[in-house]
Amino acid sequence: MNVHTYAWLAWLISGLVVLTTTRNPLIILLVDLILILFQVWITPPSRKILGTTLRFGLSVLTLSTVLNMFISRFGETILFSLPTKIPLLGGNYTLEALVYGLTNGLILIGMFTLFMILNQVVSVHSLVRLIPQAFHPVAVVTTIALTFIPASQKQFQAIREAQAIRGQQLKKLRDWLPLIIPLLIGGLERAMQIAEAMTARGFTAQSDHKTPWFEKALLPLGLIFIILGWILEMSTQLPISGLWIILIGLLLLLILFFISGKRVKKSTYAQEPWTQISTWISLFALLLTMAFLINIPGYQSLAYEPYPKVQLPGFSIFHGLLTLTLLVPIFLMGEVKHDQD
Amino acid sequence: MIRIDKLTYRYPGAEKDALQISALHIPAGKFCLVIGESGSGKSTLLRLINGLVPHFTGGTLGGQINVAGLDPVVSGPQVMSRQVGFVFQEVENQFVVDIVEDEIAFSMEQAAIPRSEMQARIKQILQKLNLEHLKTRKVDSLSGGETQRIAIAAALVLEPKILVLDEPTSQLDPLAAEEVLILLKQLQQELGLTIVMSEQRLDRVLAYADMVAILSPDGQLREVGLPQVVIQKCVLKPPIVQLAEKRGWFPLPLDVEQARKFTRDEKFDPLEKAQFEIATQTLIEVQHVHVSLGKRVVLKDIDFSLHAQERLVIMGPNGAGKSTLLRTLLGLIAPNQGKILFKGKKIEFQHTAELSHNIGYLPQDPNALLFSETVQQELETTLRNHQIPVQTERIEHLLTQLSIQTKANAYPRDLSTGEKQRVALGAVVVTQPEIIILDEPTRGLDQLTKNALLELLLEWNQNGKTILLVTHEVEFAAAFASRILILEDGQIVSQGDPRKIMRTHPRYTPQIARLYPETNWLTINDLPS
Repeated sequence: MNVHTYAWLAWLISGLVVLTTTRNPLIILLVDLILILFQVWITPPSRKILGTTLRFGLSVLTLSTVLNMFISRFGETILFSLPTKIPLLGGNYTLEALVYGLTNGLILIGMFTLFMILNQVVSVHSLVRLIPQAFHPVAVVTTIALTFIPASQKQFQAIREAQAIRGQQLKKLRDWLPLIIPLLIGGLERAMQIAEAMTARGFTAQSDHKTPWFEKALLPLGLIFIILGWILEMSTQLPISGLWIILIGLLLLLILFFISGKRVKKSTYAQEPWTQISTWISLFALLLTMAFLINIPGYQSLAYEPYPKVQLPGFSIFHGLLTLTLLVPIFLMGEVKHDQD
Repeated sequence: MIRIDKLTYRYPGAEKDALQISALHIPAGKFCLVIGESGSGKSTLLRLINGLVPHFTGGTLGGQINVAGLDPVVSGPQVMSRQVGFVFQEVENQFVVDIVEDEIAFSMEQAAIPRSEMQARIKQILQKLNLEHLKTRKVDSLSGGETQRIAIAAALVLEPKILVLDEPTSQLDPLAAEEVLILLKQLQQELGLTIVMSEQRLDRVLAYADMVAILSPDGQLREVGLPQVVIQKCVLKPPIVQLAEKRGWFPLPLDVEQARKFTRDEKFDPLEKAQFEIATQTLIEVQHVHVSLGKRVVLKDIDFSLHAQERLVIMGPNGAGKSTLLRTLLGLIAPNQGKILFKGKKIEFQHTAELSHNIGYLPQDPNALLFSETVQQELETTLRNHQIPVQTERIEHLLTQLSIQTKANAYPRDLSTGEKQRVALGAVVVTQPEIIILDEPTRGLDQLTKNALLELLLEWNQNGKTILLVTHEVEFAAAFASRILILEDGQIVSQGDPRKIMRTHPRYTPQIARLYPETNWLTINDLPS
């Protein structure tokens, strides 16, 4: 059964909320394992995704840990020291910095896997369709850009081959020049051709109607409110809360998008049905998001800090169990039909 | 339906007019063929019909144009899109989205047609064009013929009165091209469509047209009228028309079917064409080669040899694996099985850059080769890449052979299609390779340029070069080949003497051979004077 793009976005947001609201390495590790399991399940076995993901994960963990150990010299548990006379490298290397770096790496792996999964389950065109009517030209241009990428890859390959058959071998940076110029010019030529084809098929980025004054005023007004609210929020001396003013600004922008969208005379061919599975996935995503945002029992364990002296992180069974809801789509969707293309 | 009076058009910054049309009237429901040399203004004229010129290009326009009761200059392309469907020359570059049904829906979405009506229209147009099975396919997975038909469906879905096509068959194999032309004729008759089409391959399209307009190289409308009348004043005549004029046949036949009545009682002695003797030296040996691209098997058990001083032509439908075969010969693709030997040495041990010293390869798109500031530098670069000393006389001689000596200091990408193609050819043969391999060298060329290329290749062959080329152009292949190899679905289905091969495969039979099936004649030059 199909899952609506909005439901997948809700699932993505819940995953991002989990990964950004906690620094508890145990919870993040659990989320990573869940997401890797998810990815393996939805990927055709022929692509051997597990090996690729593990290799990628290992390199990210190594890089983030080593980098953090070099940058951060705080922490009480010294693993080893290098003489301070060595510029940049000299000093203490601590277990706390290692744990902090590892946690960063785990968060990065989680986020990357989340987006990889989304990329596999939702077509980019489905995402583009969600762009509001007010941004119709932006949506079309994005669609074209997406079509452009594979075309440019093909063209790059053709140019690389064309230069090879003229005896060109890519040894130095200068040797790449014959590839870049035809690629750039070819890309521009193709962009012109697509623009011409779109114009011939009735596409226009400009509206014939004159924009009324109040509509023109909505954008600057909305932005002023948001900036003002933000300044008030930053200021600790003023007793007024800027949050409400930011909300008013956002509301004004929403009204602008709604009015502008209504004026765009365009219809949409593709329609995505909202299914029962989509409802369940959205509800579980909401539940997970709320659990990691609201102060409920176990919430304190999410905020883990290895500095100044590393300690074993606490683990909230409740939050741990809730992260399992990220697997809800695979239980509800049943068997995955792997796209052999 | 289309009326043009005293029209002049000049591109921004140009010194002279690109188009000058004193009067042109295309009545409703007619199929008008626009012909002329490269750069004569055919595409400009077509783009005027839907307002792309001058709305998209800018420039200076004089005179009047009326299309379906509207002035495209005043109305603009968006309004005109409801009246004029447009199919561009490079169809794959006009697709905006990646799925067939979404692509067809694009123009309807812009016209704010309700979803239910869109669904009904898409179903209807796919049924009419017999394309229902492609509805959910990705556009980049379609064959050449399918791509062209989807582009026509996308152009017709707004139910325009006029369909404009810019060289729609230039990239298609003979069968796919014929299918598209039959479809156009059918649409003209069933829907009462007015069709305006530019085309270089007159042997294919002339018989389908109700009227022909000839543009001269300076953009003037030289002739317009019935095909039988206008074609006589044209320098670019298909073989059947040339023959008819030679024999004084009247009324002038435009295709083989029309010409048959004149040959029924003809008595002749079949001309025995001199047998081409295969030289003993084998330059390239392809032994049981299999090639897969991704999961797709493209070439299966390919086995043939290329001999010294041969003129081998490879033909086959779009997607048969012809270009893949050429790229494999150059070491650009590694075979999954089998081996390729160049002068007895396996090419897998040689880099393409080294191989290209002895094997000159011209790919389909010459633009991929061109990046230098001048034509001269373009040729010098190849020599430097191969560590060959730059000899000005050698370059000048080659440019003269290619008839582009006056363009030595021109920026290559600013040249016409034919000139760019010759610069690219110069850039790959300047090393004086033993073998020249060309992929679709006639693509986008007008008849005069094709004839010049044919003469040049024959001259090089006589001077000792071995030439292998891939083409969809039956007449070009007939005039050039000493051996033909037919590739279909990744396999060699036939190879040998052109006189035999071209007859046994009807889609590759030239006009003269179709007219005289009991002879060995392939081209008009084979006929007894």
